[in-house]
Amino acid sequence: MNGLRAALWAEVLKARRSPMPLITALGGSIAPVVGGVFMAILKDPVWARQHGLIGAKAQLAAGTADWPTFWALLAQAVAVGGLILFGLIAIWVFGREWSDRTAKDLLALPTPRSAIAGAKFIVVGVWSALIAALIFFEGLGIGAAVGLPGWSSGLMLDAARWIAVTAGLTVALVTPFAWAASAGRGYLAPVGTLFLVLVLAQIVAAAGWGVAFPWSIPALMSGIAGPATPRVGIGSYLLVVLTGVAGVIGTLVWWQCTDQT
Amino acid sequence: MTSAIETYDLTKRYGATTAVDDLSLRVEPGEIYGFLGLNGAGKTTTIRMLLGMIRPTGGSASLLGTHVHAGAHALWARVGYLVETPSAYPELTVRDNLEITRRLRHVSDRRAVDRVIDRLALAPYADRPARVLSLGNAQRLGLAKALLHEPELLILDEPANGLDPAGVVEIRSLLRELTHERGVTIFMSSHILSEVARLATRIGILQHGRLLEEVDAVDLDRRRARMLVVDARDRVAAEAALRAAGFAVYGCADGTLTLSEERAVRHSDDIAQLLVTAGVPPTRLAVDEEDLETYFLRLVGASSGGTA
Repeated sequence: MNGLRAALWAEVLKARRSPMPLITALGGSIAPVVGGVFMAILKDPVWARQHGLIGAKAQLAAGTADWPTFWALLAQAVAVGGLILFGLIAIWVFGREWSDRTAKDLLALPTPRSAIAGAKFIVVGVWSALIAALIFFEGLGIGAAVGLPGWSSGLMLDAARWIAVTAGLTVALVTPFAWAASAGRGYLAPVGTLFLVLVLAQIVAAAGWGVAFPWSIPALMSGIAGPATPRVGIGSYLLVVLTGVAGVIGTLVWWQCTDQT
Repeated sequence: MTSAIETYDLTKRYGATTAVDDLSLRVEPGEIYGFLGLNGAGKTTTIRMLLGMIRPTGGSASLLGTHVHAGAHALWARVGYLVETPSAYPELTVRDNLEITRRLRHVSDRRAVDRVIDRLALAPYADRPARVLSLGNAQRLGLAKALLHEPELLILDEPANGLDPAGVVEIRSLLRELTHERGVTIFMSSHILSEVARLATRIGILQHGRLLEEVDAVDLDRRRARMLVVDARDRVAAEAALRAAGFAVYGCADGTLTLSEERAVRHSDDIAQLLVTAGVPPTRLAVDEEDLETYFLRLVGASSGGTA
Protein backbone atom coordinates (compact mmCIF):
# COMPACT_ATOMS: atom_id res chain seq x y z
CA MET A 1 0.00 0.00 0.00
CA ASN A 2 2.89 2.29 0.88
CA GLY A 3 4.40 1.45 -2.50
CA LEU A 4 1.17 2.16 -4.37
CA ARG A 5 0.78 5.51 -2.59
CA ALA A 6 4.35 6.50 -3.48
CA ALA A 7 3.89 5.37 -7.08
CA LEU A 8 0.60 7.27 -7.34
CA TRP A 9 2.26 10.44 -6.02
CA ALA A 10 5.00 10.08 -8.63
CA GLU A 11 2.56 9.45 -11.49
CA VAL A 12 0.38 12.42 -10.53
CA LEU A 13 3.43 14.70 -10.37
CA LYS A 14 4.65 13.51 -13.78
CA ALA A 15 1.20 14.13 -15.29
CA ARG A 16 0.79 17.55 -13.63
CA ARG A 17 4.14 18.82 -14.87
CA SER A 18 3.50 17.76 -18.46
CA PRO A 19 1.43 19.56 -21.12
CA MET A 20 -0.68 16.42 -21.59
CA PRO A 21 -3.55 17.35 -19.20
CA LEU A 22 -4.06 20.61 -21.11
CA ILE A 23 -3.79 18.87 -24.50
CA THR A 24 -6.29 16.16 -23.54
CA ALA A 25 -8.64 18.73 -21.98
CA LEU A 26 -8.57 20.69 -25.25
CA GLY A 27 -9.14 17.46 -27.17
CA GLY A 28 -12.07 16.61 -24.90
CA SER A 29 -13.55 20.07 -25.41
CA ILE A 30 -13.84 19.60 -29.16
CA ALA A 31 -17.01 17.49 -28.91
CA PRO A 32 -19.14 19.82 -26.74
CA VAL A 33 -17.91 22.94 -28.55
CA VAL A 34 -18.41 21.60 -32.08
CA GLY A 35 -21.66 19.88 -31.04
CA GLY A 36 -22.85 23.16 -29.48
CA VAL A 37 -22.07 25.06 -32.70
CA PHE A 38 -24.09 22.52 -34.70
CA MET A 39 -26.95 22.81 -32.24
CA ALA A 40 -26.88 26.61 -32.52
CA ILE A 41 -26.98 26.37 -36.32
CA LEU A 42 -29.85 23.85 -36.25
CA LYS A 43 -31.80 25.85 -33.72
CA ASP A 44 -31.88 28.92 -35.95
CA PRO A 45 -32.58 27.80 -39.58
CA VAL A 46 -32.49 31.34 -40.93
CA TRP A 47 -29.03 31.90 -39.55
CA ALA A 48 -28.13 28.36 -40.78
CA ARG A 49 -29.24 29.18 -44.30
CA GLN A 50 -27.12 32.33 -44.23
CA HIS A 51 -24.20 30.00 -43.63
CA GLY A 52 -25.27 27.79 -46.58
CA LEU A 53 -23.37 24.51 -46.74
CA ILE A 54 -22.41 24.40 -43.08
CA GLY A 55 -26.06 24.59 -42.12
CA ALA A 56 -27.01 21.83 -44.53
CA LYS A 57 -24.28 19.52 -43.22
CA ALA A 58 -25.22 20.20 -39.63
CA GLN A 59 -28.78 19.23 -40.37
CA LEU A 60 -27.63 15.91 -41.84
CA ALA A 61 -25.31 15.06 -38.99
CA ALA A 62 -27.21 16.06 -35.92
CA GLY A 63 -30.92 16.00 -36.76
CA THR A 64 -32.86 18.25 -34.46
CA ALA A 65 -31.56 20.82 -32.02
CA ASP A 66 -32.69 19.68 -28.57
CA TRP A 67 -31.25 18.29 -25.37
CA PRO A 68 -31.86 14.55 -26.18
CA THR A 69 -30.00 14.93 -29.49
CA PHE A 70 -27.17 16.90 -27.90
CA TRP A 71 -26.69 14.38 -25.06
CA ALA A 72 -26.70 11.50 -27.57
CA LEU A 73 -24.08 13.35 -29.62
CA LEU A 74 -21.86 13.74 -26.55
CA ALA A 75 -22.22 10.08 -25.57
CA GLN A 76 -21.19 9.10 -29.08
CA ALA A 77 -18.24 11.48 -28.89
CA VAL A 78 -17.12 9.82 -25.63
CA ALA A 79 -17.36 6.39 -27.26
CA VAL A 80 -15.40 7.21 -30.42
CA GLY A 81 -13.31 10.24 -29.45
CA GLY A 82 -12.79 8.75 -26.00
CA LEU A 83 -11.13 5.68 -27.44
CA ILE A 84 -8.60 7.95 -29.14
CA LEU A 85 -8.19 10.36 -26.23
CA PHE A 86 -8.14 7.81 -23.40
CA GLY A 87 -5.94 5.59 -25.55
CA LEU A 88 -3.44 8.42 -26.00
CA ILE A 89 -3.45 9.01 -22.24
CA ALA A 90 -2.63 5.33 -21.57
CA ILE A 91 0.01 5.33 -24.30
CA TRP A 92 1.65 8.45 -22.88
CA VAL A 93 1.54 7.30 -19.23
CA PHE A 94 3.19 3.97 -20.04
CA GLY A 95 5.17 4.71 -23.19
CA ARG A 96 6.96 7.76 -21.80
CA GLU A 97 9.06 5.57 -19.51
CA TRP A 98 10.77 4.13 -22.57
CA SER A 99 10.73 7.31 -24.59
CA ASP A 100 12.45 9.13 -21.69
CA ARG A 101 14.55 6.02 -20.90
CA THR A 102 13.39 6.13 -17.28
CA ALA A 103 11.88 2.62 -17.20
CA LYS A 104 15.12 1.10 -15.91
CA ASP A 105 14.95 3.36 -12.85
CA LEU A 106 11.62 1.80 -11.87
CA LEU A 107 12.65 -1.84 -11.95
CA ALA A 108 14.82 -2.47 -8.86
CA LEU A 109 13.11 -0.49 -6.11
CA PRO A 110 11.47 -1.22 -2.77
CA THR A 111 8.26 -0.18 -4.55
CA PRO A 112 7.05 -3.25 -6.47
CA ARG A 113 6.76 -3.01 -10.24
CA SER A 114 3.12 -4.07 -9.93
CA ALA A 115 2.46 -1.00 -7.73
CA ILE A 116 4.07 1.26 -10.32
CA ALA A 117 2.08 -0.22 -13.21
CA GLY A 118 -1.05 -0.27 -11.00
CA ALA A 119 -0.60 3.42 -10.16
CA LYS A 120 -0.31 4.17 -13.87
CA PHE A 121 -3.61 2.41 -14.55
CA ILE A 122 -5.29 4.34 -11.73
CA VAL A 123 -4.00 7.63 -13.19
CA VAL A 124 -5.23 6.64 -16.67
CA GLY A 125 -8.66 5.78 -15.22
CA VAL A 126 -9.04 8.95 -13.16
CA TRP A 127 -7.68 11.18 -15.92
CA SER A 128 -10.10 9.66 -18.46
CA ALA A 129 -12.98 10.05 -16.01
CA LEU A 130 -12.10 13.72 -15.59
CA ILE A 131 -12.10 14.21 -19.36
CA ALA A 132 -15.51 12.51 -19.60
CA ALA A 133 -16.76 14.78 -16.78
CA LEU A 134 -15.35 17.78 -18.62
CA ILE A 135 -17.24 16.78 -21.76
CA PHE A 136 -20.44 16.41 -19.74
CA PHE A 137 -20.19 19.71 -17.86
CA GLU A 138 -19.01 21.67 -20.89
CA GLY A 139 -21.94 20.17 -22.80
CA LEU A 140 -24.25 21.22 -19.99
CA GLY A 141 -22.97 24.80 -20.09
CA ILE A 142 -22.91 25.07 -23.89
CA GLY A 143 -26.38 23.50 -24.25
CA ALA A 144 -27.74 25.99 -21.72
CA ALA A 145 -25.99 28.88 -23.48
CA VAL A 146 -27.48 27.85 -26.84
CA GLY A 147 -30.90 27.58 -25.16
CA LEU A 148 -31.72 24.07 -26.39
CA PRO A 149 -35.32 22.95 -25.92
CA GLY A 150 -36.39 19.67 -24.26
CA TRP A 151 -34.53 20.09 -20.93
CA SER A 152 -35.33 17.88 -17.99
CA SER A 153 -33.22 17.01 -14.96
CA GLY A 154 -34.20 13.34 -15.36
CA LEU A 155 -32.84 13.41 -18.90
CA MET A 156 -29.65 15.07 -17.65
CA LEU A 157 -29.14 12.33 -15.03
CA ASP A 158 -29.78 9.66 -17.67
CA ALA A 159 -27.24 11.37 -19.93
CA ALA A 160 -24.70 11.55 -17.09
CA ARG A 161 -25.18 7.85 -16.40
CA TRP A 162 -24.95 7.02 -20.10
CA ILE A 163 -21.78 9.06 -20.59
CA ALA A 164 -20.26 7.51 -17.44
CA VAL A 165 -21.00 3.95 -18.61
CA THR A 166 -19.67 4.70 -22.12
CA ALA A 167 -16.52 6.28 -20.64
CA GLY A 168 -16.05 3.33 -18.26
CA LEU A 169 -16.29 0.81 -21.09
CA THR A 170 -13.96 2.89 -23.25
CA VAL A 171 -11.36 3.17 -20.47
CA ALA A 172 -11.44 -0.61 -20.05
CA LEU A 173 -10.66 -0.94 -23.75
CA VAL A 174 -7.48 1.16 -23.61
CA THR A 175 -5.65 -1.17 -21.20
CA PRO A 176 -4.27 -3.28 -24.08
CA PHE A 177 -2.59 -0.09 -25.38
CA ALA A 178 -0.73 0.12 -22.05
CA TRP A 179 0.52 -3.39 -22.69
CA ALA A 180 1.49 -2.45 -26.27
CA ALA A 181 3.37 0.63 -24.98
CA SER A 182 5.26 -1.53 -22.47
CA ALA A 183 6.01 -4.43 -24.80
CA GLY A 184 6.78 -2.05 -27.68
CA ARG A 185 8.93 0.11 -25.38
CA GLY A 186 7.62 3.48 -26.46
CA TYR A 187 4.90 5.17 -28.45
CA LEU A 188 5.11 3.69 -31.94
CA ALA A 189 3.68 0.21 -31.31
CA PRO A 190 0.69 1.35 -29.21
CA VAL A 191 -0.21 4.21 -31.57
CA GLY A 192 -0.11 1.72 -34.44
CA THR A 193 -2.29 -0.64 -32.42
CA LEU A 194 -4.74 2.18 -31.64
CA PHE A 195 -5.14 3.08 -35.32
CA LEU A 196 -5.49 -0.58 -36.30
CA VAL A 197 -8.19 -1.07 -33.68
CA LEU A 198 -10.06 2.06 -34.83
CA VAL A 199 -10.06 0.89 -38.44
CA LEU A 200 -11.07 -2.66 -37.48
CA ALA A 201 -13.85 -1.33 -35.24
CA GLN A 202 -15.36 0.48 -38.26
CA ILE A 203 -15.02 -2.50 -40.59
CA VAL A 204 -16.32 -5.07 -38.13
CA ALA A 205 -19.26 -2.86 -37.12
CA ALA A 206 -20.13 -2.24 -40.78
CA ALA A 207 -20.09 -5.99 -41.38
CA GLY A 208 -22.64 -6.42 -38.60
CA TRP A 209 -20.34 -8.12 -36.12
CA GLY A 210 -19.68 -5.09 -33.95
CA VAL A 211 -21.27 -6.63 -30.85
CA ALA A 212 -18.53 -9.28 -30.90
CA PHE A 213 -15.61 -6.86 -31.32
CA PRO A 214 -14.80 -5.12 -28.01
CA TRP A 215 -13.68 -1.80 -29.50
CA SER A 216 -16.92 -1.41 -31.50
CA ILE A 217 -19.19 -1.98 -28.50
CA PRO A 218 -19.17 1.44 -26.73
CA ALA A 219 -19.95 3.20 -30.01
CA LEU A 220 -22.79 0.78 -30.82
CA MET A 221 -24.08 1.14 -27.28
CA SER A 222 -24.12 4.93 -27.61
CA GLY A 223 -26.40 4.56 -30.64
CA ILE A 224 -23.99 5.92 -33.21
CA ALA A 225 -25.22 3.47 -35.86
CA GLY A 226 -28.79 4.78 -35.65
CA PRO A 227 -32.02 2.79 -35.24
CA ALA A 228 -30.59 -0.28 -37.01
CA THR A 229 -27.96 -0.76 -34.26
CA PRO A 230 -27.68 -4.40 -33.19
CA ARG A 231 -28.62 -4.94 -29.57
CA VAL A 232 -25.62 -4.75 -27.23
CA GLY A 233 -26.23 -7.58 -24.78
CA ILE A 234 -24.60 -8.76 -21.58
CA GLY A 235 -22.15 -10.89 -23.60
CA SER A 236 -20.79 -7.76 -25.27
CA TYR A 237 -20.35 -5.95 -21.94
CA LEU A 238 -18.60 -9.03 -20.59
CA LEU A 239 -16.30 -9.03 -23.61
CA VAL A 240 -15.33 -5.41 -22.91
CA VAL A 241 -14.64 -6.17 -19.24
CA LEU A 242 -12.58 -9.24 -20.17
CA THR A 243 -10.56 -7.18 -22.66
CA GLY A 244 -9.88 -4.59 -19.95
CA VAL A 245 -8.85 -7.24 -17.43
CA ALA A 246 -6.64 -8.97 -20.01
CA GLY A 247 -4.94 -5.66 -20.78
CA VAL A 248 -4.22 -5.01 -17.08
CA ILE A 249 -3.01 -8.54 -16.36
CA GLY A 250 -0.91 -8.66 -19.54
CA THR A 251 0.74 -5.36 -18.62
CA LEU A 252 1.43 -6.38 -15.02
CA VAL A 253 2.85 -9.74 -16.09
CA TRP A 254 5.01 -8.03 -18.69
CA TRP A 255 6.40 -5.55 -16.14
CA GLN A 256 7.08 -8.32 -13.65
CA CYS A 257 8.39 -11.15 -15.80
CA THR A 258 9.81 -9.94 -19.10
CA ASP A 259 13.54 -9.33 -19.51
CA GLN A 260 14.14 -5.59 -19.34
CA THR A 261 17.06 -5.29 -21.71
CA MET B 1 31.26 -13.02 6.08
CA THR B 2 28.54 -12.67 3.42
CA SER B 3 29.83 -11.47 0.06
CA ALA B 4 28.39 -8.25 -1.31
CA ILE B 5 28.04 -9.84 -4.75
CA GLU B 6 28.26 -13.49 -5.63
CA THR B 7 27.44 -15.12 -8.94
CA TYR B 8 27.61 -18.80 -9.83
CA ASP B 9 27.93 -19.77 -13.48
CA LEU B 10 25.72 -16.83 -14.40
CA THR B 11 24.69 -17.24 -18.03
CA LYS B 12 22.44 -15.36 -20.42
CA ARG B 13 21.70 -16.57 -23.92
CA TYR B 14 19.58 -14.90 -26.58
CA GLY B 15 18.91 -17.70 -29.05
CA ALA B 16 22.28 -18.75 -30.41
CA THR B 17 24.05 -15.72 -28.94
CA THR B 18 25.62 -16.05 -25.52
CA ALA B 19 25.82 -12.63 -23.90
CA VAL B 20 27.19 -13.81 -20.54
CA ASP B 21 28.81 -17.19 -20.20
CA ASP B 22 29.28 -19.06 -16.90
CA LEU B 23 30.31 -15.97 -14.99
CA SER B 24 31.37 -16.65 -11.42
CA LEU B 25 32.28 -13.60 -9.37
CA ARG B 26 32.69 -12.75 -5.74
CA VAL B 27 32.93 -9.18 -4.47
CA GLU B 28 33.60 -8.69 -0.79
CA PRO B 29 32.03 -5.93 1.33
CA GLY B 30 33.93 -2.65 1.13
CA GLU B 31 35.61 -3.53 -2.17
CA ILE B 32 35.60 -1.36 -5.25
CA TYR B 33 35.34 -3.84 -8.07
CA GLY B 34 36.07 -2.63 -11.58
CA PHE B 35 34.22 -4.58 -14.25
CA LEU B 36 36.03 -4.02 -17.47
CA GLY B 37 35.23 -4.99 -21.03
CA LEU B 38 34.92 -3.66 -24.53
CA ASN B 39 31.51 -2.63 -25.83
CA GLY B 40 29.38 -5.76 -26.24
CA ALA B 41 31.47 -7.80 -23.78
CA GLY B 42 28.40 -8.44 -21.60
CA LYS B 43 28.93 -5.85 -18.84
CA THR B 44 25.48 -4.27 -19.01
CA THR B 45 23.72 -7.63 -19.36
CA THR B 46 25.56 -8.81 -16.23
CA ILE B 47 24.58 -5.66 -14.36
CA ARG B 48 20.96 -6.03 -15.40
CA MET B 49 21.00 -9.65 -14.20
CA LEU B 50 22.49 -8.51 -10.88
CA LEU B 51 19.58 -6.06 -10.57
CA GLY B 52 16.90 -8.61 -11.43
CA MET B 53 16.03 -6.84 -14.68
CA ILE B 54 17.05 -9.80 -16.81
CA ARG B 55 16.38 -13.40 -15.85
CA PRO B 56 19.50 -15.55 -16.25
CA THR B 57 19.36 -18.51 -18.62
CA GLY B 58 21.56 -20.41 -16.16
CA GLY B 59 23.34 -19.95 -12.85
CA SER B 60 22.38 -17.55 -10.12
CA ALA B 61 23.33 -14.31 -8.43
CA SER B 62 23.04 -13.03 -4.90
CA LEU B 63 23.58 -9.54 -3.52
CA LEU B 64 24.21 -8.91 0.18
CA GLY B 65 23.34 -12.54 0.86
CA THR B 66 19.95 -12.37 -0.86
CA HIS B 67 19.10 -14.33 -4.00
CA VAL B 68 18.41 -11.88 -6.82
CA HIS B 69 14.95 -11.83 -8.38
CA ALA B 70 12.62 -9.12 -9.58
CA GLY B 71 10.52 -9.24 -6.41
CA ALA B 72 13.38 -8.85 -3.92
CA HIS B 73 12.05 -5.47 -2.76
CA ALA B 74 13.78 -5.50 0.63
CA LEU B 75 17.10 -6.09 -1.14
CA TRP B 76 16.61 -3.16 -3.53
CA ALA B 77 16.29 -0.83 -0.54
CA ARG B 78 19.97 -1.61 0.19
CA VAL B 79 21.24 -1.28 -3.38
CA GLY B 80 21.76 1.83 -5.48
CA TYR B 81 22.33 1.65 -9.20
CA LEU B 82 23.00 3.57 -12.37
CA VAL B 83 22.52 1.59 -15.57
CA GLU B 84 23.79 2.83 -18.93
CA THR B 85 23.03 6.45 -19.80
CA PRO B 86 21.48 8.50 -17.01
CA SER B 87 17.90 9.51 -17.56
CA ALA B 88 15.33 11.68 -15.85
CA TYR B 89 11.85 13.04 -16.48
CA PRO B 90 12.70 16.00 -18.70
CA GLU B 91 9.94 18.40 -17.67
CA LEU B 92 10.51 17.79 -13.95
CA THR B 93 13.16 19.69 -12.03
CA VAL B 94 16.22 18.00 -10.57
CA ARG B 95 14.57 18.25 -7.15
CA ASP B 96 11.29 16.73 -8.43
CA ASN B 97 13.16 13.84 -10.02
CA LEU B 98 14.97 13.17 -6.75
CA GLU B 99 11.75 13.55 -4.76
CA ILE B 100 10.20 10.81 -6.91
CA THR B 101 13.20 8.58 -6.18
CA ARG B 102 12.94 9.36 -2.45
CA ARG B 103 9.31 8.31 -2.33
CA LEU B 104 9.72 5.22 -4.51
CA ARG B 105 12.64 4.17 -2.30
CA HIS B 106 10.54 4.75 0.83
CA VAL B 107 13.06 7.16 2.35
CA SER B 108 11.15 8.93 5.12
CA ASP B 109 13.73 11.67 5.74
CA ARG B 110 12.71 14.58 3.48
CA ARG B 111 16.16 16.18 3.90
CA ALA B 112 17.72 13.27 2.01
CA VAL B 113 17.04 15.11 -1.27
CA ASP B 114 18.85 18.28 -0.14
CA ARG B 115 21.76 16.25 1.20
CA VAL B 116 22.31 14.40 -2.05
CA ILE B 117 21.91 17.62 -4.06
CA ASP B 118 24.71 19.16 -1.99
CA ARG B 119 26.88 16.06 -2.16
CA LEU B 120 26.68 15.90 -5.96
CA ALA B 121 27.09 19.68 -6.34
CA LEU B 122 23.69 19.97 -8.01
CA ALA B 123 22.45 22.92 -5.93
CA PRO B 124 22.73 25.49 -8.78
CA TYR B 125 20.55 23.26 -10.96
CA ALA B 126 18.11 21.97 -8.31
CA ASP B 127 15.13 23.92 -9.64
CA ARG B 128 15.90 23.59 -13.33
CA PRO B 129 14.09 21.09 -15.55
CA ALA B 130 16.16 17.97 -16.17
CA ARG B 131 15.91 18.51 -19.94
CA VAL B 132 18.28 21.51 -19.80
CA LEU B 133 21.03 19.66 -17.90
CA SER B 134 24.38 19.08 -19.57
CA LEU B 135 25.44 15.46 -20.02
CA GLY B 136 27.77 15.80 -17.03
CA ASN B 137 25.05 17.17 -14.76
CA ALA B 138 22.60 14.54 -16.00
CA GLN B 139 25.21 11.99 -14.94
CA ARG B 140 25.41 13.66 -11.53
CA LEU B 141 21.63 13.44 -11.25
CA GLY B 142 21.81 9.74 -12.12
CA LEU B 143 24.41 9.24 -9.41
CA ALA B 144 22.32 11.27 -6.96
CA LYS B 145 19.39 8.92 -7.59
CA ALA B 146 21.68 5.96 -6.91
CA LEU B 147 23.04 7.49 -3.68
CA LEU B 148 19.94 9.16 -2.23
CA HIS B 149 18.99 6.27 0.08
CA GLU B 150 22.60 5.70 1.24
CA PRO B 151 22.88 2.15 -0.07
CA GLU B 152 25.27 -0.55 1.16
CA LEU B 153 26.01 -1.63 -2.39
CA LEU B 154 26.38 0.57 -5.44
CA ILE B 155 26.20 -0.89 -8.93
CA LEU B 156 27.33 1.66 -11.47
CA ASP B 157 27.48 1.27 -15.22
CA GLU B 158 30.10 3.66 -16.64
CA PRO B 159 29.75 6.24 -13.83
CA ALA B 160 32.28 8.67 -15.36
CA ASN B 161 30.40 8.93 -18.67
CA GLY B 162 29.99 12.51 -19.85
CA LEU B 163 31.80 14.08 -16.91
CA ASP B 164 34.52 16.64 -17.54
CA PRO B 165 37.98 15.94 -16.03
CA ALA B 166 37.15 17.88 -12.86
CA GLY B 167 33.87 15.99 -12.52
CA VAL B 168 35.64 12.66 -12.99
CA VAL B 169 38.08 13.49 -10.18
CA GLU B 170 35.21 14.70 -7.98
CA ILE B 171 33.12 11.56 -8.50
CA ARG B 172 36.18 9.38 -7.98
CA SER B 173 36.90 10.96 -4.62
CA LEU B 174 33.21 10.74 -3.67
CA LEU B 175 33.13 7.01 -4.43
CA ARG B 176 36.41 6.47 -2.59
CA GLU B 177 35.02 8.35 0.41
CA LEU B 178 31.86 6.21 0.38
CA THR B 179 33.96 3.07 0.53
CA HIS B 180 36.52 4.24 3.05
CA GLU B 181 34.22 6.09 5.43
CA ARG B 182 30.96 4.22 5.11
CA GLY B 183 32.07 0.79 3.94
CA VAL B 184 29.95 0.95 0.78
CA THR B 185 30.75 -1.77 -1.75
CA ILE B 186 31.04 -0.49 -5.31
CA PHE B 187 30.73 -2.55 -8.45
CA MET B 188 31.46 -0.33 -11.44
CA SER B 189 31.73 -1.17 -15.10
CA SER B 190 33.86 0.67 -17.58
CA HIS B 191 35.70 0.20 -20.83
CA ILE B 192 38.53 2.48 -19.72
CA LEU B 193 41.11 0.59 -17.68
CA SER B 194 43.09 3.67 -16.66
CA GLU B 195 39.95 5.14 -15.09
CA VAL B 196 39.04 1.94 -13.27
CA ALA B 197 42.64 1.38 -12.12
CA ARG B 198 42.63 4.71 -10.26
CA LEU B 199 39.73 3.64 -8.09
CA ALA B 200 39.19 -0.11 -8.05
CA THR B 201 40.76 -2.49 -5.58
CA ARG B 202 40.12 -5.41 -7.90
CA ILE B 203 39.43 -5.61 -11.59
CA GLY B 204 37.59 -8.27 -13.56
CA ILE B 205 38.06 -8.28 -17.31
CA LEU B 206 35.17 -9.57 -19.38
CA GLN B 207 35.38 -10.66 -22.98
CA HIS B 208 32.64 -12.30 -25.03
CA GLY B 209 30.67 -12.77 -21.81
CA ARG B 210 33.42 -14.69 -20.04
CA LEU B 211 35.63 -13.55 -17.20
CA LEU B 212 39.00 -13.41 -18.90
CA GLU B 213 41.08 -12.36 -15.93
CA GLU B 214 40.73 -11.03 -12.42
CA VAL B 215 43.53 -8.91 -11.06
CA ASP B 216 44.20 -6.95 -7.89
CA ALA B 217 44.75 -3.32 -8.81
CA VAL B 218 48.14 -3.35 -7.03
CA ASP B 219 49.30 -6.14 -9.35
CA LEU B 220 48.55 -4.21 -12.51
CA ASP B 221 52.04 -2.69 -12.72
CA ARG B 222 53.65 -6.12 -12.48
CA ARG B 223 51.52 -7.46 -15.32
CA ARG B 224 52.16 -4.71 -17.79
CA ALA B 225 54.79 -5.48 -20.43
CA ARG B 226 58.05 -3.54 -20.18
CA MET B 227 60.67 -3.10 -22.91
CA LEU B 228 64.04 -1.54 -23.34
CA VAL B 229 64.21 1.11 -26.05
CA VAL B 230 67.64 1.54 -27.59
CA ASP B 231 68.94 4.11 -30.06
CA ALA B 232 72.37 4.69 -31.52
CA ARG B 233 73.95 6.78 -34.28
CA ASP B 234 74.53 3.60 -36.28
CA ARG B 235 71.30 1.65 -35.70
CA VAL B 236 72.24 -1.13 -38.11
CA ALA B 237 75.50 -1.83 -36.28
CA ALA B 238 73.76 -1.63 -32.90
CA GLU B 239 71.12 -4.13 -34.01
CA ALA B 240 73.81 -6.49 -35.33
CA ALA B 241 75.72 -6.29 -32.03
CA LEU B 242 72.59 -7.02 -30.00
CA ARG B 243 71.59 -9.93 -32.24
CA ALA B 244 75.11 -11.31 -32.03
CA ALA B 245 74.71 -11.28 -28.24
CA GLY B 246 71.55 -13.37 -28.60
CA PHE B 247 68.88 -10.70 -28.06
CA ALA B 248 65.66 -10.60 -30.04
CA VAL B 249 65.52 -7.09 -31.47
CA TYR B 250 62.39 -5.37 -32.81
CA GLY B 251 62.28 -2.17 -34.77
CA CYS B 252 59.90 0.64 -33.91
CA ALA B 253 58.19 2.90 -36.40
CA ASP B 254 60.55 5.74 -35.48
CA GLY B 255 63.63 3.55 -36.20
CA THR B 256 64.58 2.91 -32.59
CA LEU B 257 65.21 -0.65 -31.41
CA THR B 258 63.31 -2.46 -28.65
CA LEU B 259 64.19 -5.47 -26.56
CA SER B 260 61.46 -7.13 -24.52
CA GLU B 261 63.41 -9.89 -22.81
CA GLU B 262 63.54 -9.67 -19.03
CA ARG B 263 67.37 -9.82 -18.94
CA ALA B 264 67.56 -6.77 -21.21
CA VAL B 265 64.92 -4.77 -19.32
CA ARG B 266 66.38 -5.56 -15.90
CA HIS B 267 70.03 -5.06 -16.89
CA SER B 268 70.09 -2.10 -19.23
CA ASP B 269 73.61 -1.32 -17.93
CA ASP B 270 74.83 -4.61 -19.51
CA ILE B 271 73.26 -3.55 -22.83
CA ALA B 272 75.02 -0.19 -22.61
CA GLN B 273 78.34 -1.90 -21.97
CA LEU B 274 77.76 -4.36 -24.82
CA LEU B 275 77.09 -1.55 -27.29
CA VAL B 276 80.06 0.51 -26.12
CA THR B 277 82.32 -2.53 -26.46
CA ALA B 278 80.97 -3.10 -30.00
CA GLY B 279 81.86 0.51 -30.90
CA VAL B 280 78.23 1.75 -31.21
CA PRO B 281 77.58 3.59 -27.93
CA PRO B 282 73.84 4.14 -27.27
CA THR B 283 72.41 7.63 -27.64
CA ARG B 284 69.23 6.58 -25.84
CA LEU B 285 68.52 3.76 -23.42
CA ALA B 286 65.15 3.78 -21.66
CA VAL B 287 62.71 1.32 -20.10
CA ASP B 288 59.22 1.91 -21.45
CA GLU B 289 56.21 0.48 -19.69
CA GLU B 290 53.11 -0.58 -21.58
CA ASP B 291 50.28 1.79 -20.69
CA LEU B 292 47.09 0.43 -19.17
CA GLU B 293 45.01 0.72 -22.31
CA THR B 294 47.57 -1.18 -24.36
CA TYR B 295 47.75 -3.83 -21.66
CA PHE B 296 43.96 -4.14 -21.67
CA LEU B 297 43.73 -4.31 -25.45
CA ARG B 298 46.56 -6.86 -25.58
CA LEU B 299 44.70 -8.92 -23.02
CA VAL B 300 41.40 -8.91 -24.90
CA GLY B 301 43.19 -9.48 -28.17
CA ALA B 302 42.04 -6.27 -29.81
CA SER B 303 44.17 -3.96 -31.88
CA SER B 304 45.55 -1.04 -29.94
CA GLY B 305 46.19 0.92 -33.10
CA GLY B 306 49.85 1.54 -32.26
CA THR B 307 52.56 0.79 -29.80
CA ALA B 308 53.17 2.59 -26.59
